[in-house]
Amino acid sequence: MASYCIIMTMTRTVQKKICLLGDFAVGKTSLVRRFVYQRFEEKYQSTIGVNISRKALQLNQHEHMQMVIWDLAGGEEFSGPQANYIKGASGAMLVCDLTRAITLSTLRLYAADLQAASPGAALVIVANKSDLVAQRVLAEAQLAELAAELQAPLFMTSAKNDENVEAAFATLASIIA
Amino acid sequence: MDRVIEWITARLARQQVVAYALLDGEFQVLEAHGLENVVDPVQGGENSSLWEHFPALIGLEDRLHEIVALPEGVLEIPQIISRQPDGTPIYYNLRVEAIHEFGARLLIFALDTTEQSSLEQQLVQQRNELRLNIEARQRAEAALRQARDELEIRVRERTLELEDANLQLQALPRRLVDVQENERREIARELHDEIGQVLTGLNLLLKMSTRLPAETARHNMEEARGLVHELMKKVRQLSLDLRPAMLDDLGLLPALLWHFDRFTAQTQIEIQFKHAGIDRRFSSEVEITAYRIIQEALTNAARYADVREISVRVILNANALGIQIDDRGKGFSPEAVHPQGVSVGLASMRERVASLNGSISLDAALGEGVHIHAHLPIRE
Repeated sequence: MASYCIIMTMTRTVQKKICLLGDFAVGKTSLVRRFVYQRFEEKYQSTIGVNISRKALQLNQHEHMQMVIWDLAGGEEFSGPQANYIKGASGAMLVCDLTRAITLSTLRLYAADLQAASPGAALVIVANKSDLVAQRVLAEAQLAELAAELQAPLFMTSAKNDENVEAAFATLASIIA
Repeated sequence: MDRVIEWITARLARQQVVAYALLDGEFQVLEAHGLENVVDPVQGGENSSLWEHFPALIGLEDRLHEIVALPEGVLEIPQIISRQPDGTPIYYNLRVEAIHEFGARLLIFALDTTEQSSLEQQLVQQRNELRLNIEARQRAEAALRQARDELEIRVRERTLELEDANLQLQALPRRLVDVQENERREIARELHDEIGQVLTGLNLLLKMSTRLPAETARHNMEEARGLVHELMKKVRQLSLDLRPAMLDDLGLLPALLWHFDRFTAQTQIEIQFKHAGIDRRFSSEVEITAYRIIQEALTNAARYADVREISVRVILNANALGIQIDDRGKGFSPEAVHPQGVSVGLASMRERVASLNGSISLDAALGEGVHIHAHLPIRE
């Protein structure tokens, strides 16, 4: 009588909500579009409300993550029904624009809003538009200071040139997994 | 089921509902309609659960349980964007209400707000573009301000330099007269103190010799010959100081080597001399200028620096002679030496160098020695 050895591989899939927060025109939608659809559009299109995308990630041999990405309008105030935008988030990307100094200072406010709505949510700081070298105004030291203050990893990205985008999302996924 | 649909239709009749779902207490879908209108397909995965139909509710599971428990619990997520297959955006508000009909516990429906949200998007787009323009303009204005400030600083610095140069120019004739008078005074002193006295002695000796016996006169003549020899030596020395003939006859390198030997013999100060490419002839102006700069620097060092050693480097580059003289002596504060920070000797050096379109700089500080660098263009 033949004997059989049956090997069953259990795969776990987790679903996690993350938000992209930051001022208008810092490139949040471009980062999501690059990460999820591998596309980039030069034309600036303002986001209102929330654009929800999803991407399945393989964390390791036995774990998958379905990342639900909330791309929120820049300058949003998270009060009233809008508070639900950031409730239940496991993590967030705080996105600033390397060519506009003001976009860095507001990230502290977004971080505070997120911690109030979703305590313990993980953070990753993303300084976008690294391709615009000549127009850059934010120094690495300023970014590092905020990263240290919020205890968050820091990434310099270019959604246009596909630099570090995957790494930023992958890092956030590994933290919240 | 028809009754359920009829009920839902009546319930939502006044609103522009694009999709709905009726769920039980376990969040199982009892009835659904139009979900394909509002849910984008997942990238890299497959739809399989309630959360796939309503990804906007992921993370809000606890809140949904709270709503189920409340008689009139409501959750609203406004202005969610979805896209039709052709890319056209649909905006909808997702609303979750607790109900207690037909065994259902939750009614989830999407209200179409595309029309008003599209208008709002256009307004926000215009507002943001305007803000970006304002920010860009502010950045440009700040850059202009900074450039203007820097320009003003440069203009002020240049004005000060010009005023300083003007002062030096005004003082130049006086300094040249000073230099000339100093040289005349030195020559007069040499002639009077050194040569004049020897000549007087010689004159007396010769006068006396005519009246003395032959043997004594012969002795005086020997002494007179010694004085003549000394006199010749002093005249040669004076002539060399005024302009060494060796410079004209043999060129810069032999004249410098000769000068260093004489300098060391007179002062006991060693010269560390390094040179390259100067074993050749240059124009007379370049040779005398280089020689005078080094001569003046060494004389000053011997007078004031209190050192046992001075470094001199003379290097020929492609089209210029570079001269570097360094001592590690007492140094001095340039401002303390002269109101404009320029000594007569240095002024003389500068005039000579300027006439060759060259440059010279002096770096000195108390206790830090003196460092002179000159750059003399050569014309082949």
